[in-house]
Amino acid sequence: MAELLGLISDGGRAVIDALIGLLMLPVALLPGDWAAMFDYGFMRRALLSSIMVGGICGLLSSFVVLKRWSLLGDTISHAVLPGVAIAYLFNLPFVIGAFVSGALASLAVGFIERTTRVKEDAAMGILLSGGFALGLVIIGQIASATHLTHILFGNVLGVSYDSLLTTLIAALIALAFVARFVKELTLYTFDPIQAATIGLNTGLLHYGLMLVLTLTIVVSLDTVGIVLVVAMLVTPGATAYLLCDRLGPMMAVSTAVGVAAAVLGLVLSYHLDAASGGTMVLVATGIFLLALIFAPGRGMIARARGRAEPR
Amino acid sequence: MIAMRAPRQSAPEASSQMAVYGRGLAAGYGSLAVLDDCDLEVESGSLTALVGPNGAGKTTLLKLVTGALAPWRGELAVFGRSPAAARAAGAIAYMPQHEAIDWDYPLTVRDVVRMGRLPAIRARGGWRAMLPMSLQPAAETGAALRALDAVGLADLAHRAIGALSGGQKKRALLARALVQEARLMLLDEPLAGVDRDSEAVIRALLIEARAAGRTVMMVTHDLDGTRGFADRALLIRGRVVMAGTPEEVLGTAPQDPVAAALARAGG
Repeated sequence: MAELLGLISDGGRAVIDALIGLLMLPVALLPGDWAAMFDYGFMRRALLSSIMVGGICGLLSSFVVLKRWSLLGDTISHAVLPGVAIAYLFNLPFVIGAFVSGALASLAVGFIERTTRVKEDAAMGILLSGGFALGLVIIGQIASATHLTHILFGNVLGVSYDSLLTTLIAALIALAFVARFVKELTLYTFDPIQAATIGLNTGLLHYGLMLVLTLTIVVSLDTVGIVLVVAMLVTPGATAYLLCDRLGPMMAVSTAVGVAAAVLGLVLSYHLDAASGGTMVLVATGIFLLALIFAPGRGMIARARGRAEPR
Repeated sequence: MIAMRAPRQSAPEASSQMAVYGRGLAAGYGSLAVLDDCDLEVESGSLTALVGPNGAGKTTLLKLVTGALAPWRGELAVFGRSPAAARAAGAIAYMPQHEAIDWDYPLTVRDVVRMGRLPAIRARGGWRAMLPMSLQPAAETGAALRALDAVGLADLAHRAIGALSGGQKKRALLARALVQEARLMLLDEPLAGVDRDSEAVIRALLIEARAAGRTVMMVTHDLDGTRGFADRALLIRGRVVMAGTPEEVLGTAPQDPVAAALARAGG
């Protein structure tokens, strides 16, 4: 068993090294002082991690925005903390603990909403804060403040091979789920009653999307951290929503915005010696503001013009 | 209150001739009962209008037939089968109320109508059914464009769905229901708030659908407008309190305060 795990780990390491090798081809074309930062192994791993996390967060972001799941994403990410703490306590991979507690929180939101008169937003507020508080208390007992800071705000420069491999697997699962079910998810998010009427398994779509979202949040923690991951799940989709009239292009744009924000944020944080997770989110916010002002048709300038020259 | 109710007969023999057959249905939301002890019969190949005041349970009844809502009690058959089996066989098409849909969704008119082909694509199965809509056979897009032509929206196929007028949106949703080629079409307020042109187009297409052998079941506020159009009108108030031709229901209406109010509002 241990040998098998070792074999998988070695194979995974080779795959990750190959991906990093591919990434270095375009990096080599950059001007010297921009390429220089990627001489460090930790920066290469951080770059791969940023691209994968920005990509899957951006891809799912379209559905998060259209399904109005922003607060749900925030709830899941905060409710992940006790799972991380308990996994740490029992020396388990933190991904497993995080996934279980995030998934439990998302199910609990649905349960409270269906069975009581408490509405969804209140249920999410309770689980977000309650779960987060539980995690804080447990971690305060067992781990250092540095450890807690890394979980809360990410530590992309310390990303390990195992963590990259986990992120890669999660990214492939999310990609496969979206590619296979994109037309069903589109109908389910556009017109859920029609989706049920034609016999789609709406429960599978709903909870499937929720679990893929949870998985994405969990593997994004190393890169952007619990507190800020929701930005990567909302801002790219909201930006694309301002720019696109069709879902396909919207998903492409939001994925591109996610990757661009993560990579630019990483590079800027290196040069400015700033917190990398925070810088990524600021870049994403900046891109959103640009779209808000300049988007054709829906931006502030286009709207002001529309008022000035009525059709 | 007048209640015309058929004597109870055993479900299997009666339900096999009916498009929709319900006995003793109760349903609601949370602890609020909307329908109670409701019997329902819709003949195969008919155009049946469900009329009644707000909150009477018309939409709830449609949701039971679509399977979006499960009844608390009672039995329900669609073409002699369970609603779930009828759904799985692609027998049911549904056109929702205007409010049920997010019109800001980034889809073109053609995209929306083409989604009506999803049941057929899934029924065909195979690896191709797993691919996104844009990679499906061109015939699916062709069917969507023909339906758009039928409802008079061919020129607007590439417009964003949210950019259409109220009547045009209804026509687009009707086109989506038509491309499903389902035996039973359920329409929630297809004529509410539409312009005259759209209303004429929708009425003509529903009559055409019935002529093609489909069963049409529609919710409407306008009892008077069902005269000379619907084969049957069912007056709903928590259950089917009156059933007959639109003329019969209108004729007996003055004795029922709700029907009288409806007749006045419609006239």
